[in-house]
Amino acid sequence: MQKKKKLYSAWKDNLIGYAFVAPAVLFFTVFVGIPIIVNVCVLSFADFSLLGNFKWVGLENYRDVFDDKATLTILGNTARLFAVLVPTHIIGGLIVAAMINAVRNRFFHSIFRISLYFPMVVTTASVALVWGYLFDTDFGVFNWLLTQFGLGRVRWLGDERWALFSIAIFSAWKFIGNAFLYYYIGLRNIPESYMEAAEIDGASKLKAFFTVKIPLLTPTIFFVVTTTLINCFQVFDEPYFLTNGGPGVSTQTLAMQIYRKGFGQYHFGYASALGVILFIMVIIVTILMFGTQHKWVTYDTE
Amino acid sequence: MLERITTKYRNANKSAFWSQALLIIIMCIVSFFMFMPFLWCFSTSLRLPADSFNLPPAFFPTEWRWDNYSYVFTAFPFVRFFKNSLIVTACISVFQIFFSTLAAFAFAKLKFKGKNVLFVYILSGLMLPYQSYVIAQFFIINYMGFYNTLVALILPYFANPFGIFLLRQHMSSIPDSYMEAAIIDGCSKWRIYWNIILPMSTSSIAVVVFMKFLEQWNNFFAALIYINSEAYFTLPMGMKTLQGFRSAGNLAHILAGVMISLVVPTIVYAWGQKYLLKSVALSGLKS
Repeated sequence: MQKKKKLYSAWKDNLIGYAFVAPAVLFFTVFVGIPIIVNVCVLSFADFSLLGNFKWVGLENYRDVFDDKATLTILGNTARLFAVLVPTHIIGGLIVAAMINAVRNRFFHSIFRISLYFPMVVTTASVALVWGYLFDTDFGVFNWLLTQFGLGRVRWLGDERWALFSIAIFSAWKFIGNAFLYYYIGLRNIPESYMEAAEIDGASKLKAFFTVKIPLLTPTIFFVVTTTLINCFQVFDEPYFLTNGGPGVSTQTLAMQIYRKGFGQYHFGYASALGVILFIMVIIVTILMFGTQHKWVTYDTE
Repeated sequence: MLERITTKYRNANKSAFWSQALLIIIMCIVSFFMFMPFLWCFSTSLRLPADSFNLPPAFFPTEWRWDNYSYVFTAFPFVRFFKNSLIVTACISVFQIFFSTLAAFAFAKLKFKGKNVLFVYILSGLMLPYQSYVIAQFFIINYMGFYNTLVALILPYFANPFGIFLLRQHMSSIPDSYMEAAIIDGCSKWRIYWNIILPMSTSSIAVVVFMKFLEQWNNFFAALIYINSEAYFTLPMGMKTLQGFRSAGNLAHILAGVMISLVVPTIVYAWGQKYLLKSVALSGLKS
């Protein structure tokens, strides 16, 4: 009798739990879970159009992706975006967060904080329009500044050597707030007494920062590095508005290529295969990050 | 002796003052560059359209031609874009926070079979790039008949893995003792969720709503794929139309449009930033 009642109550607990998570799990499954499985297991191995005409083609889509000369350029572009965005966000974000945290004047403190985070808040599409004009060869602010210093004009968006770099500058400006905010909050949550203790022991301010604050901040750093890397793979709005991938494919990103192949040229199979490649790369990065985590991230064990 | 200590103290104070001053100067320069695009945009949007390309560029307004702003409203269906964006973001914000708090409560406070598996399943959404499943999602939404409707921009965002993660972190930190008293009194799980846990999670809820609202207000990619007719354009799509005016050369009008598009994010930011900074949830990013 007792046992039966217990079993019944365990059942009831399960049902209540499922009822609470059901809406989130349901929507996640329909719009994310099923699509990713279908994309990986079915669409990337098939040829089809909006009307149907479904046909299995095996590995042909993947062969097309690797035969395409543009693919290599696009992967190279992703690597170059990494080269600019990873240091500016991960290290630059930390430096400004530490500096702003040290500013004692309340007024300046909040002005600086707002200036760093505000670009993060506004619509990428809107500010990309503005930056398009800032980069303008004849009328743009950047070239005007260069000519003031007696330097020549740069075709920021029209020159293959500069276009991707220009996009990276815009992206760094737009999204540094994300890294900044996490660092800023992380630093504020480290008790001042820890630093004071180190300084009483005779460490300089800078040394105390590196030996006390940085180790305590490693969980935040880990989070920022991982999300920055994952976001780097998905850059879309910035090149779409500034250069539309050009000149040539010099600023094409993976996300843009998926859009262009799928929704521009209706090569849905090709786009799916590229999506799977993107997925695999993100998984590799995530595994690498979590694999090395125990070597440098200190979780405070109280 | 005393004198020596005071001079030492004064010197320390002096050097602290100078290092503060230096810090503020450096950060002023950084801040100027961060604000510069907005300053330029605002100042130029108030210039006479014919003067908008003139050099040197303006960083502070010299003229105040507000009629550029009224012109954008008449020449351009801004109101409609705003309305669409508002419908989409408001629906998403309300439903996702309801579903996320429900799930987070279950993951944090209830016991049921398969809880950890389901939690990891939802968390996997944190690292899935949208473009790696967008093609299949497109066909599913198309099959459901939602192509070129606002529904296509709303439904997929009802599940919010990051929100569930943050809220669960927060709710786990609420001591069980608050619940035990309620259980002894015979409260249902729903009552515990609604009357105890939710009121104690308001700051985390504000942070999640804040982030989701801005993310969706700025969501361009989904609108680009799913929306075809201008009647359902959201604001970021409207910006694309605005960009099309570029050849017409009325820079001041375009920038006035940009300034108008910044109003809502600015208001939301002003409302949300105190929650964002105080949030314990974000600092508790420990696994």
